[in-house]
Amino acid sequence: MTAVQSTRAFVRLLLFPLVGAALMQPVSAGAAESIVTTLPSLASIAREIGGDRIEVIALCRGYEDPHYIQPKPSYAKSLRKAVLLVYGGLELEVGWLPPLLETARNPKIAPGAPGLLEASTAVQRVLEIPSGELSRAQGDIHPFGNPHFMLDPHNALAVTDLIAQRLGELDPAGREAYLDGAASYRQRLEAKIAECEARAEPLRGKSIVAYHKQWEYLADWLGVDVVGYIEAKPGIPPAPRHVASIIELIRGHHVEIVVAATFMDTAAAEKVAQSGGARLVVLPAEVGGIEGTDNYIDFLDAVVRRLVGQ
Amino acid sequence: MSGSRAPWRSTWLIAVGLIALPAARVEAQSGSTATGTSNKLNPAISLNSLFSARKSDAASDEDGFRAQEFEMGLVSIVDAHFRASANIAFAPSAGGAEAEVGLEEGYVTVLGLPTGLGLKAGRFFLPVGRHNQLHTHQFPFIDAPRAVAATLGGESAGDVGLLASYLPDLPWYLDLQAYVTDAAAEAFDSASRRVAAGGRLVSLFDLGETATFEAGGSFLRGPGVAAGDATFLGADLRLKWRDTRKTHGHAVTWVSEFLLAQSDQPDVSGAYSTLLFRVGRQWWTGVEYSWNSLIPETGRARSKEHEARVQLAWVPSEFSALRGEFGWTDPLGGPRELSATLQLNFTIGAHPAHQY
Repeated sequence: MTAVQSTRAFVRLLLFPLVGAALMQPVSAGAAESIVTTLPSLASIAREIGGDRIEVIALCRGYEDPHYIQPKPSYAKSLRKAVLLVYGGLELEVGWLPPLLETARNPKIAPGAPGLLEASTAVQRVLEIPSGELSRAQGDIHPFGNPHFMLDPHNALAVTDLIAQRLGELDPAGREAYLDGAASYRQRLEAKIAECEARAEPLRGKSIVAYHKQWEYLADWLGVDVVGYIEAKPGIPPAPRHVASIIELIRGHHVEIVVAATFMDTAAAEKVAQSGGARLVVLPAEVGGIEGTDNYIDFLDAVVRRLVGQ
Repeated sequence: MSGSRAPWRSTWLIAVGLIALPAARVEAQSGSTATGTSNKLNPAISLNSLFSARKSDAASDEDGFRAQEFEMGLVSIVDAHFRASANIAFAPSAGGAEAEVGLEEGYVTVLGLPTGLGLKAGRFFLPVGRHNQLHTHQFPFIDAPRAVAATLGGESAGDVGLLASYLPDLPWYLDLQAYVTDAAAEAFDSASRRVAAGGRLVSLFDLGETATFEAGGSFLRGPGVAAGDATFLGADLRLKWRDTRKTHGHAVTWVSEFLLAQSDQPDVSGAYSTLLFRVGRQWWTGVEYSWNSLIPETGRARSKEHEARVQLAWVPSEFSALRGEFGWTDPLGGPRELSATLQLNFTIGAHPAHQY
């Protein structure tokens, strides 16, 4: 095949998908605006606020570790259509969101555009903002603070207001509907918070051990004390000596509960819990992490029920 | 086809020195209005380093300890209209303190274009095939497959130009790219006043939530070194699977690529296939086979080269990796070679984006 023949063959090859693309451009439904969130909990809240006015997609599944999402180009396809992208922030998605945003080529959610919303800006009290010397010798640290703030439902209330406000700015015709949706949702969430707090009252003041440093907001909300971590440093597999010291700590502090997310090494956590005489509680870290947690309120309910052993 | 780097050397050394030294001195004064030395809007900076040790049964020049490359990456939003990215590579000479410095990539992308459209201007890796778009520290194996080296050059080939891309709104992911460059890459006649032009299309399909299949086609044409044009064609396939229910669950990546270089000389073609498998939280293993033709010279009985490699990698974090490789090479014009290579790869500074 000569160079000219190769060129013609390639041009034909290129034209085929181009023509296909032109023919298959979907007809706009003209109704619901497309909203994308990184976390399923943010998507759940957005759905409650927007109702039928919006279509919401979460990039991360509830059973996935949100730190280590693979930036699949197909996610860029969803981002391309979005009028609003809501992300957690505090560098939770730093490893995978930037290349997706670049691939999406959507000016509505580009840096600086009103369609790009960082949920953590609603959080009044970010926990564990590091002070003093900071280095990656400390493991997978978050220089701007702990990003798992959605595990405290009071933060979810603040995020609800933030999303409703931004939706109203982007879609003024629906502003009242969004504010009504947010108010109604707040009411239901506040009721669930009160119910969960009453249910978790027996846990108040108790010590727990966690596999990974991600339950601080939950512990802070329920008045539980996280006294140790199976991982000596976040994201680094524990050495046997550290595991032995954690087992001793569980016994010494009479720790009753060891907590691990579904996507962590739950087999290792089970061994630690058994050796120390504690109960392993595998928790969903996000909405959809286990069955029956398809929305934020059900997720909150499941987390607290599992913690108290119901 | 690797671009020439020597002309950049002194200029970049001076530039980097001028930038780095004052920044270090005024760190404690950041935010000062009076001095104008705030560093709050500095680019995200990272430095990747590659060190290796190699031993072969053929007493190759490449044997021994080697500081392969240091690559500095800078990324920032320029203003409301542009985003900028630069990758400056320092390749130390064997055993010496001097380093060849080159701008691997340095470009701006335009913000705020109509949805789906992208525009990139500056120096960028030519999107010919898949492997040519990777920086050295992103290579799946320590060095590029011989198939890529024979057709496009051992290091990823870049050129200065303009690249337009489009992501249509379709049920599947389809990315279209078209570009023109100044044809200054090694494979082209840089004295020619003509430009080189090329295109690439990539389709990706989700196979459930855990797997994707991707197919790409590439084309590049420009003024040849001898008479006539030089044309490069590429076709690549990739299949990825990952256990998404665990933080560092098992994962498999299979990549195969075919490349063809045509000019007034006989065609040069090559293909490789790579299989990578994450066997544990911090452990990866992989195998690769590469085949390529070379322009036969008078008296040679054959015109094919073959290469096979196996790899075991320890990846303790996103910022470091230790890789060990055994390689078998059947080169043209030389004896068959067995080699063992160990490479340390680490990054400091800004968090690197996850590759897909």
